[in-house]
Amino acid sequence: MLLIPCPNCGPRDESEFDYGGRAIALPPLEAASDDWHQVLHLSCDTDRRVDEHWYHAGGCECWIRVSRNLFSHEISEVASSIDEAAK
Amino acid sequence: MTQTRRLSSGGLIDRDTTIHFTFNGRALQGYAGDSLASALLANGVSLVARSFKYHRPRGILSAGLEEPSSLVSCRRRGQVYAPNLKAPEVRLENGLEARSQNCWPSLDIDLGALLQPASALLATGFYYKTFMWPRRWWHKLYEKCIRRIAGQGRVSTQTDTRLHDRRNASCDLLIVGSGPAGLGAALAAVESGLSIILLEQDAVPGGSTLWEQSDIEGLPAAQWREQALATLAGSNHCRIKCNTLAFGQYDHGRVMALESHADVVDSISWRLRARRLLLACGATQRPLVFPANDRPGIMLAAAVRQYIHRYAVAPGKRAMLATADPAERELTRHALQQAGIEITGDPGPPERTTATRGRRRLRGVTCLATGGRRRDISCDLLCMSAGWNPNAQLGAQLGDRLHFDRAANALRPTAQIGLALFSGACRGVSLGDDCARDGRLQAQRALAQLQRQADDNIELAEIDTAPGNSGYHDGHDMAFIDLQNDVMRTDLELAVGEGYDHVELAKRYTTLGMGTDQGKTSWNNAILEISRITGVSPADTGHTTFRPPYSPVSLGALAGADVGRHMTPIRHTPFQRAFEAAGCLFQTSGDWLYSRYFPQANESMNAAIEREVLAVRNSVGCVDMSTLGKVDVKGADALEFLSRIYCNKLDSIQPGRLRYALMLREDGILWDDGTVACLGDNHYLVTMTTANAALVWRWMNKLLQLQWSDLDVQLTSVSDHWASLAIAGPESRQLLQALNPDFDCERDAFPFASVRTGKLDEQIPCRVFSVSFSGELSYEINVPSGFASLLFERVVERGASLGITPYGLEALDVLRIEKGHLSIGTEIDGRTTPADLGLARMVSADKAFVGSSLLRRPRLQRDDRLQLIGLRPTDGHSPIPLAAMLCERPWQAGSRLAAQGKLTASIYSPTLNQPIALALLQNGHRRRDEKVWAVSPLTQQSVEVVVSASCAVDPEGRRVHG
Repeated sequence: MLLIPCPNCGPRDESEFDYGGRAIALPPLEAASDDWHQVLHLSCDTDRRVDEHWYHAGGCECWIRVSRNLFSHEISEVASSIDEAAK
Repeated sequence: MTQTRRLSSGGLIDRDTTIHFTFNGRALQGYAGDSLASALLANGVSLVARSFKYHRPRGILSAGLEEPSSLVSCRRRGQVYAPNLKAPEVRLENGLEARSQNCWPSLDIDLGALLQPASALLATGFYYKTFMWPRRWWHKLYEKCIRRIAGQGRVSTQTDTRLHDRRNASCDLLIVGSGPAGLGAALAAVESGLSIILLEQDAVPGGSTLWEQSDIEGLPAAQWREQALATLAGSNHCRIKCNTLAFGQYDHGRVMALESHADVVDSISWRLRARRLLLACGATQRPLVFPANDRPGIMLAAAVRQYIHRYAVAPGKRAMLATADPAERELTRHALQQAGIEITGDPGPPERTTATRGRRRLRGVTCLATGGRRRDISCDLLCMSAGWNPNAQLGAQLGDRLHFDRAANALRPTAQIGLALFSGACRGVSLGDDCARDGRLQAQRALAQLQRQADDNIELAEIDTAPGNSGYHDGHDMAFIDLQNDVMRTDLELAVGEGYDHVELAKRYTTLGMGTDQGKTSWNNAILEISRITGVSPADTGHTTFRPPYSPVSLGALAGADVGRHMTPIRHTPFQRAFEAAGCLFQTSGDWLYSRYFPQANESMNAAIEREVLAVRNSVGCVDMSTLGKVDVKGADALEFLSRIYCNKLDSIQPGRLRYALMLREDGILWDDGTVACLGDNHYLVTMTTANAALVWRWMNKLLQLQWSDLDVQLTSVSDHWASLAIAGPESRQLLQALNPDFDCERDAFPFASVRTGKLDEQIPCRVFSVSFSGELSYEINVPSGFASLLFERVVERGASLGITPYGLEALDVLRIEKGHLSIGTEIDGRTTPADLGLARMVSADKAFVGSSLLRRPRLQRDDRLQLIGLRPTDGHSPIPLAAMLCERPWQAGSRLAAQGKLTASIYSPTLNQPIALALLQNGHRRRDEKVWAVSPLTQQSVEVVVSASCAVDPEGRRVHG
C-alpha cells in the first residue's frame, strides 16, 4: 500500500486513489489511426521511473501526476493538474 | 496428581488461578500465565504430535512462534477447532480443548508410523517420481491416499463464529518487540514527544527479560523491565500493544499486525502506517543437526531456560548439554541447577552426538569423542544450541537481502533497510545489556531521521555476535533439518545431486521451510548444508525470499467484519422505503439493492414479470431509474466538450431537447450509452449507465483536468441528488397530466426526446424527460431525492384508475430485450462497435471525437464481425437455451462446435407470447431469415432458430410517440 503525497491534501493512503494509467501524451483526436495505434498499443515501458496519473477519488477529486520508481515504489515527484495548467 | 513437573516456586505464573483444559480428551490443569506448551510440560506430557510425513513421535522443541513440531488443533469454548497451532503460541485458558493431529487411531498408537521403515522410499521427489503413471490414477487413487497419510490438521467446514475487526492507526515510530532492545528504544524515544506504538507478540511485554536473569543497565532484568514499563505507562504518546503480531511490512511504512485475544472481538487486524520502523524482534535459536535429533525431549537451550524461569516447569529430570556458545552453556547450566535437574552429560565441542535412543521420549544419547571412543549418556532432556538466527524477516520482506555473518554462521541484516532500523538480537547483538544500549542508539538515529537532521552523528557500537557453529554433527541417519516437513540432510543431498542446488529450487523440491513455521529453525541450517554439499560459500548460497505473513494469520482475521452482508456497502435508491411498503422483492446489482419485481399474493416470479410487462405494453407501469449516473455540464465550451466525448452529432441540439448518445473508448470500441439533454444555454444534463456511472465521471474529469484544461466547462455529479421514476405505457401521458405539471404535456407540446422543468401539483420540483427504454410512451420524472416517496405515492394514487403497475429490474430487462435495446456487459461487452450493434447511423462522420480515429481501423470494418440480431425458435415455442452458441449444426456428442456467434439475452416474451433472444452473429445483419442452431454445450440442448431484426416489438418505433 503506497502513501501518495497528494499536492492538495497531503500524504494519503493508496486506497483513497484510483489508478489512471501511465501519463502518456495522447495524440490529438484528429490524428491518424496509426498515431493512436502507436501510442495506445505499441508503447512499451522499460524504465524504472514512470509518470502515472492517479485520481484522488476519496479526497480532492483531482487528477495528479506521480513519478514513481516501479522497483522501489519510491515517489519522487507529484503535481496536480492545476499546477500543470498554470505552467 | 497433576503438574508433576511444576517447580514449587518462581516463574511468572499465578499459582492461585488454576486453569482446566483437555489434551486429547484427558483433563489437565495449568496456571494462569501458562502457554499450552508449558502446561503440557508441567503435566509431564512429552509426546505431543506425530510428524508430517513419517509419523515420528514429536514433542516440544521451542517456546515461541518458531516451533516446528508440536502442532495441535485447539478450540476455545463454543468455537470450532483451529488447526495447526503451535503449542507454545496457544495461551492457556479455561475450557481449552487441544488435540493432536496426523495420527490414527491415537497419538500413542499411530498406524501411520508403520511407514517409518519405508522412509528410504519416501525421500524427496518420491511423489513426483512414483505417482506419475498411469496419469488418470492420480485423481482417483493417489491423491486421496496421500492426503490421508500425509498432512496436518483439518480445517473445520463449520462457519467461523469468531468476531474479527479491522482498524487503522499511524505513528511516527513503530517498535516491534518489547525485549531489552525494544524497551530501550521506547525509553529513548518517549522523551521526544513523537508518537510511538510498541507491538509485542507475546501476552506480556518484556521479551527475554521474562526469563533471562543477567543485569541490564545495572539493574536485575526483571526490575529494569518493570521500571521501563512504568516510565512508558506514564507517557500519553506511547502505546504498548501485547498479543499483537506484526506479520507484514509493505510499502511506505505500512505494517500489518494481528492483535489476538482483544477485548470484545476475538481479533483485530491493524493496518499501521509508520514513518520509521524499529525492529527489535529478537533472535531464534538454531538446532543442531544430528541423527534422530527429533525425539521428544530434545529442546532448544533457551527454550529450556524459558520454561524453567518463566513458567517454573522442569522439562526433564536428567539433562545433557550441547551448545556452541560457552556463555549459553553457563546460562543453561545455571537454569538446570536451579530447577534441580541433574546434568548427566556436558560433552565439549570436539565430542559429537551420533545417535539418540528412546521411543516416545528421549532416553539417552551416544557421543563420539575425537579418539573414536563412544560414550553413552543417559538423559531425558537434551538442551541444544548451534547459535542464534536474527529475526530480521519483517525488515527484509520488501525484497532486500540479508548478508551472511561468518562468526555467527547466520544471516544478519544491515543496521537499516529502507524505513526499518534493526536493533538488538535481531541484528546480532547478544547480551541483554548490549541490546538495551543498541535499542537506545537506534531509536536516536530514527528520531534524528524523523527530525530531518542530515547527519545524526550517532555511532553504533561494533556488534559482538555470539559465536555459532555450523550446526553439524556427524551422521546422516534421520538427521532432520526441517522438523515440520520432515526434511532430512539426505533429502537436501538428493535434491542438490539432482540439480536443484539453488536455494529457491531446493526449497520447493524438498518443501524445506514451507511449513507453517516458515523455516524459522531450519532455513539457516539448510543454507549451511547446501553450502557444504555444493562447496559454494554460505554468503554466495544466499537465501529464499521473505514474504508476509511472518507467522500464519487466519483468513477470517484478514477479512475482518467484512463478511456476508457486510462484504460491500449496499446502496439504496431513494424509493427503497416506498417500494418495501409496496411489497417489492429486491436484488443486489453491483453496489445497488435494486427492485426486482413486485409480486402479488402467492404470485410466482414469472407470473409477476409477465403481468408487469403486459401492464407496460397495455396500460401504464412505473420503474425506478435513480441508479443511472447524472452529470450536470455547464460552461461556454460545454457543447464542444460533449461533442468530443460522444460520437453523435450534437451541435443541432436545442434547449428542451435531448439525444440518445454513445461514448467510445480511445480504441474505437463502444463503452457507454446515455442521453444528453439541453437544459438551457451552455447547460446540459448527461446520463450514463448505472454500471459505468463512477467510471465515466472519473474519465470526464481526467479529460478536462489533464488534456483539455483550456475548455471552459464545469462538471457536477448529481447522480444522488435526483430520484428518478419512469412511467411507461400507452396511458403514461394521461398519468403525467394527472400529476398536474405546470407545463404543457400534450403530444405536440412535449414530443419524444424532450425535457421539461417545472413543478408537479405546484409543489414538487421536477425535471421530466420523454425517453423510453421500454419502447412505450414514457416519461422519466426526476425529483429531488427527498421527494421520492411523495412522488411514488402520488403516481400510485393518480394512476390507480389507469391500472398503474410498479415493475422491477426483471420486467425492465424483458421490455428492453423485446425492443433490442442495449445493455452493458451483454451487448456492450467491450468488443463491439456502434456498427456491430446496428447503430452506425449515430456515428458522426463530420467531427473528431474520442475513438474516431481508431474506429476506422480496417479490422473494425469487416463484414464477418459479430453483429447484433434477434432470434426466434423456428417451431415458435421452444425456449432458447441461455448462453447458447450459434452453429450450423445441432449438438453432436464428441464433435467440435464451430460457433458463429453467441447469445447475449434469452427470454420468454409476454408481448409476442413466444421465446425470443438477442445474439451476436457473424455477418448477422445480412443473414435475416436464415436458420441456425442455438446450441448449449452445457445442457447439450439444441434449438433451431431463425435470424430476425434485433427489435422484436414495434420495429417502426411508433409507440414512443403515444
